Amino acid sequence: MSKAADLARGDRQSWAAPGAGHDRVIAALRILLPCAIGALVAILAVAPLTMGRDISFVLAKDRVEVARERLRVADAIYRGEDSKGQPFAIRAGSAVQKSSRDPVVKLANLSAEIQLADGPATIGAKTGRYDMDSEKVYIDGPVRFDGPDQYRLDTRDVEVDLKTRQVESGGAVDGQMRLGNFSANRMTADLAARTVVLDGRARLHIVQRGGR
Amino acid sequence: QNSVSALKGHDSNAPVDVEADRIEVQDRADRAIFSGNVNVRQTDLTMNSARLTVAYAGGASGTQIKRLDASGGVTVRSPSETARGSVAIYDLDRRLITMLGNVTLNQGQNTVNGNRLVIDLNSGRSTIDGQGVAGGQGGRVTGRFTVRQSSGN
Repeated sequence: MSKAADLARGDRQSWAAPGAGHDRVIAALRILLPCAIGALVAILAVAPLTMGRDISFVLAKDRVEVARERLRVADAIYRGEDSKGQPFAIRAGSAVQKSSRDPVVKLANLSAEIQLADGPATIGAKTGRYDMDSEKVYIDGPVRFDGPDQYRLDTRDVEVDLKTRQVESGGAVDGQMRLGNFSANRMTADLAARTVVLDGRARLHIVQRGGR
Repeated sequence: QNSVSALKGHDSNAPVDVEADRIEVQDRADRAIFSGNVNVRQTDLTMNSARLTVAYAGGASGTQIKRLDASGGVTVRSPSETARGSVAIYDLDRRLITMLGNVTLNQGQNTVNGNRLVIDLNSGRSTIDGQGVAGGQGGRVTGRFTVRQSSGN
């Protein structure tokens, strides 16, 4: 092209002329860009395996504020019905259930009320556990039964089945009833019939009061 | 040798301790049933038997035993005598111990057999007679008494 034509073109036109700057840039890029893409893909493919430090985090159980039990209730009342359809209620100063899988509720200062044929009866204890599935109360430590006609039975470490109103001692037991205080290897009591059966080296100390 | 039983004036209101293999207390019936080598103690009176039924009155003021019925081979012991029979009834209200069924009574070296023995805790006297349980015609009363050697020879 003539000198005059070259001078007539602006800088940008001359940069865009065939074989000039622009074409050189494009030629370079035609090679560089695919290589860059290939390299990037390679890096992405290899990166997870070579990455040393695991940047994901695990929620540390002990460091996070975890509630120890699933259910904590103050002044709990649990109502149910026994085999005869009569209502019973268990009141507790505090009731704690460890987890949903565990049907046992740990009770403190518990008092249960059951209906007997001739009147209400109450069962009071400091600590106990209530199994919601079997509807049994396991008393740890002393327990007092009060029933109609001044029926009273003091003993400890017994299992109370609220459905059948039967009481059973796990092992050796001692206690007091109006007839006197007793001790035995095993005790079962029927709150409804108000009978107490003592088995195995059973002893009864009867103190007589009242003039003859 | 004093023939009056040491049980004279025995306090029937004293506490009673009972041991047995099995005790069933029926509060509604005011009764307790003991079974399996039963041992009853009231101060110095003891009674052993296979079975025992205690009838008591559970008034508001407290418990008062009315009667003890022991059966199945009964041995009643007191400091001065031992009596054996098949059945014994200790009536705490009337303070009488009645034993029935080939009764033997050992007092010191003397032994007396009969059908019925009544120990009266008020007077301390024990009377044995051959009277059968159903009041049939008198059975025999036998006894063996040892006479103390006169101190002369």
